[in-house]
This record gives sequence, C-alpha cells and structure tokens, in this order.
Amino acid sequence: MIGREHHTHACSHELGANACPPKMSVLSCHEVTKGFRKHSVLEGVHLSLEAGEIVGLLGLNGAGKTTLMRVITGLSTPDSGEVRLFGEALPMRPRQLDRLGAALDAPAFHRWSTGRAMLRTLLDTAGLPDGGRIARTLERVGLTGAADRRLGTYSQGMRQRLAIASALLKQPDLLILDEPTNGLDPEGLRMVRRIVAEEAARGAAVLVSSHQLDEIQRICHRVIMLAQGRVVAAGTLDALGYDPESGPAAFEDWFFGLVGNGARP
Amino acid sequence: MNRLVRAETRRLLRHPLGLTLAALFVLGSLYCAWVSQSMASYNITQVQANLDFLPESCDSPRNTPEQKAGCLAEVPLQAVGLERIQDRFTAEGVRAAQAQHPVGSLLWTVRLLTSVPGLVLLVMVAAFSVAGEWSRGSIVPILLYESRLGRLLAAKALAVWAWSLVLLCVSAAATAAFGLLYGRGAYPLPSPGALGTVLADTALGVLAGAAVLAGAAAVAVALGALLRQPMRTFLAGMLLLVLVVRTSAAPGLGAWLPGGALADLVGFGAVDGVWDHFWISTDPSTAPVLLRVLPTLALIGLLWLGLDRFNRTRDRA
Repeated sequence: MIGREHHTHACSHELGANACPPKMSVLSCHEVTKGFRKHSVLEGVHLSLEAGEIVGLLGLNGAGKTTLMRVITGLSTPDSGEVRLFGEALPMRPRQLDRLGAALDAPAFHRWSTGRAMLRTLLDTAGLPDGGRIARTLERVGLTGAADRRLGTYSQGMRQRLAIASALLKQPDLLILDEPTNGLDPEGLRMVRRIVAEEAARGAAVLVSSHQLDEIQRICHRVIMLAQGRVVAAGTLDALGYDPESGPAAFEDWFFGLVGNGARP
Repeated sequence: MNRLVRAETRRLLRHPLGLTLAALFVLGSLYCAWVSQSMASYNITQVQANLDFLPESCDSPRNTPEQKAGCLAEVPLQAVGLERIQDRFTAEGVRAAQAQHPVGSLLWTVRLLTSVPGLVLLVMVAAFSVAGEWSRGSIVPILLYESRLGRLLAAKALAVWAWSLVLLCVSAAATAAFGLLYGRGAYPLPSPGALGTVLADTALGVLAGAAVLAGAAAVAVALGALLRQPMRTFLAGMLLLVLVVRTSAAPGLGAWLPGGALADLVGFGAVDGVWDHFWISTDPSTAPVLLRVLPTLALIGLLWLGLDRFNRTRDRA
C-alpha cells in the first residue's frame, strides 16, 4: 500500500452512487516530485482518478496536498515525474484547461469587482460564452442575492462560495477543491456535499482535500493520504481497514494511525 | 484573444487605482494647460511691450543728449535681441495654442502623456494591475481559465495601452474644453497654424505617442510579470525611466538609445516647463528616427523573450 494506490473503487458511497460510471482515467500522476529550494514537498507521488469518482486527499498541514493540487492544475511545475490530464501530459493545454475546474488556496479575487463581474471576467478570459451559466452557478452556490455586491464586502464564507462557483463555471470533467468547506456555515457544508455529489453523478471526477474528516468520510469513494510529501495510503475506506460504522472519533484515530501525529521535520 | 483583451481592459478601467491615476492625470493636464497658456501669453505680451517701449526708453529726462544719442544708437541692437526672444516665445505660444485647438489639444496631451510624469503613471498602473495579481493571489483563478501566460501578459499589455489611449482621449477633451471655453478668451496666443497643418502634425504626433505608450506598456507589464510584486515593479520601472532619460544625452549614442529616439519621435520641445524639463535634449543625429527606434524595439523584444524563457523555469503562480 505505501506509496502506491490501491484501486478498489467500489461505487458504494451514499450520494450519487446509483450507477457506477464507466472507468476512464481523467487524471494520473506518476512519480511526481516537487521541492522549494532544498525543501522537498512531494516525493514520488502516484495517483489516478477516474470519471465519476470522488477522491479525498487527506493529510496534516504541510503534507503537500495544496502543492499536489497546484502541480495537477499546472500552476506549479513538478521537478520530476509526469502528470496526465485527460490522457495528455502536462504542461497544460487550453483543451485540457477547458475541462478542469479548481478552487485552490485561500480564495483571492479583485476586491473592487462584483461576484457576477468576476465570473464574467473569468469566462471572458477563457473565451467562453455565458449562456446563463453565471446565473445558474451563482444560484448553485447560494450567491444570487449577493451577485452584484462588491467582493470587498463579501465574508470569508461568501468568498469561498465564489471560489467554488469559479471552479464549477466551466462544467468541468475534473473538479479540484482544496479545503472547500473552510469558512462555510453548516448550510454551506451541505451545499458543498450536494455539489460534489451532483458533479460526480454528472460524470466528473472530483479530487477534494479537507481537514473535516467526517466530510471526507461521508462523500468520498476513495481517500489518498499524504504524509511528508508521500502517499502513505490510498484506496476505499473499506480496503484500508476502516469500519464505517465505528463513528467519527474512530475515523480520527484511524487517520492518525495512518499519517502519524508528527509534523513535517 | 479579443475577448481576453476586452476583459482585461474592462477590469483595468474599473480598477480604483487606474481611475484615481487617470483623474490625477486629467487634473495635471488641465493645470499644465492653464500654466503654459498663461505663461506663453504673458511672455508674448511682455516682450512686445518691451519692443514698443524701446525707442521711448531713451527719452528719460535724466538722460543727457549724449546719453540719449548713445541709447538710440543701441536700440536696433536691443531690438534684435528682443526679437529673438520674441521668436522663441512665439514658438512656445504656438505650441501652447494647440491646447486651445479642438484637434491640436490631442497633440499637446500626447506629449504630456509620453513625458516622464505620464510614464510614471503608466508604470504604476502596470505594477499594481499586473504584479498585484500575483501579490494578491488573484492570478490563480485567472490562470485556471487561461493556461498560456504569454497570451495573458500580452492581453494585459494591450489593456494597459488601451487604458493610456482612453486617458489620452479624455484628457485631450478636457484640455480642449478648457482651452476653447476659457483659455482663448483669457490668454490670447498666436494661431497654431492652418487646419491642415494642425491635423497632419496631430496625426503624426498621436501615432508616435501611441507607439511610445505601447512600448512603455510592454516594458511595464514585463517588469510586473518578472518581479510579481507591485512596489518592486514600480521601483524597477522608475530606475529604468531614469536610466532612459539620462542616457538620452549620451554623446554619440544618445539618439540611438531609447530615451533619445523617444524624445525625437514624439518631438519633445517646450510643451511646458513643468513636464518637459525632465527630458534632456538629445544628441543630434541625422539618421532617420524610425531607424533609430529599432534598437529600442529589439530591447523590448529581448525583454519579452527573456521573460517567456524565465517563466518556463518557474511556477506560474
């Protein structure tokens, strides 16, 4: 198991699992390594995602989750290894990016812009038509009422919702969400859960990182655990030896058992 | 690409800093128009008054007949000197009078915009709208919608250029309104020339100015994307601007360097003391200015090529 994925996709999640979508590799990473100066952040990471599956990326702070997502989205260049999106190796091409939606890091937008104008700017940047998708996406994330307010007046939760909207706008085939529940209220948590399930049901692959272990446990088909830049475990919770009936506290113990308690040296 | 440029331009025109700097420039332009028309009109009136008074100045009751004869003998010589001054003031007056002309005001404004303070504003806009994207982190969602950084930066450079052209038009309109409604009555100046001459001079000046603004936008955006931090970009831009200005007077070479070629291209002269004295007079050259612009274009091209290669070796955000 260590450093390698265990491909036992079971389609047994509670949401959107009525039919197992056909397996098609949307994303694959092989031996991805990334460091900053002499500090290694990712070491030989392997992973793959198939259409319609939801994969949770777990790990302590500094484990390399965000860096891995930045490498996958083409924002960071790996020092070695290969990332393939929709069958093609990076660097990112426009036809790959058109099928990718992502919300990464702390959401940062233009403070003087409005939510609606920001999304229109993003569509214009990609040369994509609106066709009502801005209004639909704003509605999905619950921002219709605040669409014409300046972003400088948005709360953290509202900025998070807008970040999720920016990821959904392209109706992506691969959705990457980096800690999407940060700053969200319980209604927002439910919204994220619903959106992730809907996207997977539509056939999109979803890679989601979170420190909300119970959320990951509830929505993901598989989990990938990172510790100190390495994949220490990957597969269904079942295959990794976790009993879904044992409750959140047991999940936490199980998580620490796999990734360890120690911070990055 | 068109949609991308339009999106960037729209964003820049809504940028609070872009709006503030544009307002500052329009006010500065109006102030300079007022000062230059007032000064030119006053100078022309004064020198004419001195010329008119010249023969009478010898009639002072304190002058002895010998002193008066000597004074009158010097009048033609003094008149020649004053006429030279009058010619210079008239030339300045003709230039200032462009700000009172509905078309000429465009030429007057483009010279202000391509002078040092105008270029400082352009560097500031580029620094905060390009480098600011990285320092704020707002480049991340944008790069998730456009993977080609070079294309994005080209669009940003075009947007900064478009911003400067919009500013030119707005500022020229404000200057023309001031000149026509107030300046013409309050500050009489010589005619800026026949309509055809003004049109031709303005067309050439605006073309040259637009080329200079395009080059400046390309350099400022490249610096912003290279340094990715607004204050560093601004300081680097200022340093570069000082270097460009100072080297324009380099003996034997100045006319071929960016500063010298730029000054000759735009036709800097006595637009106004406040704005124009930043630019040191260039080393004269007989070579055509379009030929002397080529090294500057090559330098800008090298800067963009270097930026592209450098960006391939580092993270995009």
